[in-house]
Amino acid sequence: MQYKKINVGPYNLHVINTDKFKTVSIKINFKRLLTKQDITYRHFLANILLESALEYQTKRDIAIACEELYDLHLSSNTILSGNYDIMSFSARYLNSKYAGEDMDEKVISFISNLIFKPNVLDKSFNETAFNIVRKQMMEDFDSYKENPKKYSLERMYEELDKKSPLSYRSLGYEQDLAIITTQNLYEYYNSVITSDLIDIFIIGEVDYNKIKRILLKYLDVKTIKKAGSSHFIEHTKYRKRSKTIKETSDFTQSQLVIGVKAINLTPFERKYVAAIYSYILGGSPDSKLFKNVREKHSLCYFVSSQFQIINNLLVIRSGINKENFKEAVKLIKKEFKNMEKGLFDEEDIKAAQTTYLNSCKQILDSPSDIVKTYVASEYLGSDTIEDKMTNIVKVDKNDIINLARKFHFDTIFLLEGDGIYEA
Amino acid sequence: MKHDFLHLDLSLYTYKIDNGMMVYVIPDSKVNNIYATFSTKYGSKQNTFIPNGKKKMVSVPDGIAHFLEHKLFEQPDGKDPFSIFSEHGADANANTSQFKTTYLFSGVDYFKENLNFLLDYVQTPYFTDANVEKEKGIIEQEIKMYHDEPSWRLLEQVIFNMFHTDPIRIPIAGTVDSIKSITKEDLYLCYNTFYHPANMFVVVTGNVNPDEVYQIVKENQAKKEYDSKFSLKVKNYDEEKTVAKEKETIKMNVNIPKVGIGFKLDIKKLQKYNRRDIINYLNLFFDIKSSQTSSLVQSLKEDDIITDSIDTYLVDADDYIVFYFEASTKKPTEFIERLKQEIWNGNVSEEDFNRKKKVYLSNYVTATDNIFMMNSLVMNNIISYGNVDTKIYDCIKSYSYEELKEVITNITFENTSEVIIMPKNSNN
Repeated sequence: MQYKKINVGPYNLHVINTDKFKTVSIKINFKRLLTKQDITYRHFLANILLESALEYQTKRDIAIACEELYDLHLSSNTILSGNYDIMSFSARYLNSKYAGEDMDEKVISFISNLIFKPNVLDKSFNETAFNIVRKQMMEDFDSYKENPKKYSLERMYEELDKKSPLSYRSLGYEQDLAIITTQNLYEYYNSVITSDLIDIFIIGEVDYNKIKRILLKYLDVKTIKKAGSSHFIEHTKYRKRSKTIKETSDFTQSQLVIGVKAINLTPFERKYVAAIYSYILGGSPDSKLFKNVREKHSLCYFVSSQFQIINNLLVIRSGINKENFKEAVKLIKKEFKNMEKGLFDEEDIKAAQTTYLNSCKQILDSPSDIVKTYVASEYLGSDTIEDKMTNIVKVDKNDIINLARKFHFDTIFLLEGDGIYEA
Repeated sequence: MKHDFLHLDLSLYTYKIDNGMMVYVIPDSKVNNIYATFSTKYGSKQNTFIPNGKKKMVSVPDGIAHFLEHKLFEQPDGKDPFSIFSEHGADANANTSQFKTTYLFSGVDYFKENLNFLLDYVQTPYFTDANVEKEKGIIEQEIKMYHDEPSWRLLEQVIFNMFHTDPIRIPIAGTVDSIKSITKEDLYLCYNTFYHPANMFVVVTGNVNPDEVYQIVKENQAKKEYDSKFSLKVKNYDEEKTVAKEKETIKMNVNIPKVGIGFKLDIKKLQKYNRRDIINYLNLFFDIKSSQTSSLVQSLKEDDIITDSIDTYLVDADDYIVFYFEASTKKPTEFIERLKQEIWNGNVSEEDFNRKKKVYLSNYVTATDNIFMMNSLVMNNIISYGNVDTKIYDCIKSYSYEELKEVITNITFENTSEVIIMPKNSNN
């Protein structure tokens, strides 16, 4: 496997050449600093560009063209990545050997037609396509509360720090959707293709020079490259007494989400110690939380902790009966305190390190996981897989105890399930 | 025995152990990871049977196969299987469907230890009154978690309404009430009947040597004693062609109504074709009719009936195939009517058929890059057809438009069951 980063004027091209896979995958990322209003625009744009284009008027036309290209898998999304908003387009296609014909140029020219030749007339997006996407987004807003897990997580983010970009909803906002028109969306589109930071990642059995030549031919981008700022969200203060917010719902199960702020972590702690800490606390069915809250006290089916590097946040989640709220929080807090007291052993650390090493090796089996590591390296300065494997084994018990002191229980959110279970 | 997956650069190795257990291996030296599954051909469907060594049929509480899956993680020495896999850096899990229960792990290192341990813990049942009781609270939360998911509820209710007697209609995990009556004796009864090695199989995909896998399983099994005779008698249900209930509306915590509709298809008449081909042709047909490339989806969007896609799912229930559609829609009745009309007019174009064939072929090639997908493909083939078809690529390539039309013409699409989830505050 060989990696090359090529400066192609307005964007960076990252080519990972490997014969391990029968497919080629491409990811085109547009990113800019996150603002609350932009989220809805970017979401709209990511959808409308795959709904209709000048050459492919309807989503059906696009879907048929994808199937003709040996079932090209095409998708778009927007994600909130700390202080940034990333709009990305991903494609996966059979490589030329298995398709039996040269695919690279066909696929790249097709994607380019969708992104750079949108269905626009008189500086306005096509109204039919616009209305389809608008309705989809309105339905998404309407059904926002239908997913209790996702809703509870975002409510916890909101309560944690109302001023932080972390509190923004990934879907966007109804009031922002209401002011989007076919014209102002096109204006926004123009600002994206001229001023967003663009990175293109491609992995598979490809030739560097050929890919570069094809991209230069089809991707008409005129952005000006600027230095980026940090994705990481830093917390400066935390609540001495954690804040508890409860909401009622008609679900039968209650969702418990706890936000734990990480303050003043060193890069080593953030990249490595936190991963080991979280694995021991609630990262697997062998974890402290799983064994105590689930197995010993039968309070839940799932309970887990996850450290979010970009957000400097440890999130603990569980699904419980609302009557057990106090007991569950008490048990979780006890395990959390036990980490600070060093009540875990060397075997726990060893198991967490072995699992981490194992997942590093598994990354190399999946094109999308490999691309993720290069994206993280580009945006977050993450280490290479080799460095990760060398560094993780350096984490020791003292590191974990020291880190535990930097974690602060901040916000507890409970979506109470008041619904009655009927079989 | 070695079989090559033609045109896909992979091979399948099959072995039979003396005690009747089957082993399937697809080696792939390009990847680092190894994925191993150990399954019994026993799921929530088999709830009335003659226990091993007995003569009379017995019925067990609903949800017991899934309960058993949870309890096999309990070991007499108190060791937690998850801890062992975790020490080896491996991911472990288990799952239960209507037809099978699978225990699994994936990991790069310690393969021999992991595989031996997988076989050992599944083959060492240890149930006590206390550990059975403890599990009830955990499974109650699992049932409630799924109960809150509209899509899950919809599919479960449609399947329930489609069948009169076949226990495929029963929810996999049972209900909060049904699991309360489960005892350790019930668990041993089911275990001793369905976990005989002759009813089980191992599938390993990834960076392994097939003969080594066989040796590990062979040596492991040689240390264990099982009754050499194995016979299994599970109650047969003479399921009717019609559906048990055609329409139902339930209320849930949703803002936009959701519709689930199932077509119950009797495939007994199509004796000229094998099951695999019938199912592939049906998949092609429904795909042409309801995917993003269909005129149906395009027109439903234009007419404000749906804003997104239609999800589909196929349930293979022996003599019957259920094809299931799901969508969010503010106009449930119109959606159902338009979908039914589209299916009932069996028209498909040759152009669509040829393009979809290309898609299916491409999907097989892509699946071979993924050890998890290949493992599932082998397991599902064993459960549905009793063997693995390694010539699937050529087989799909040989499919013809004329045959598709013949299959469709010989199937009745009249038996349907629909469930609508309405918002709790609606008046409908």
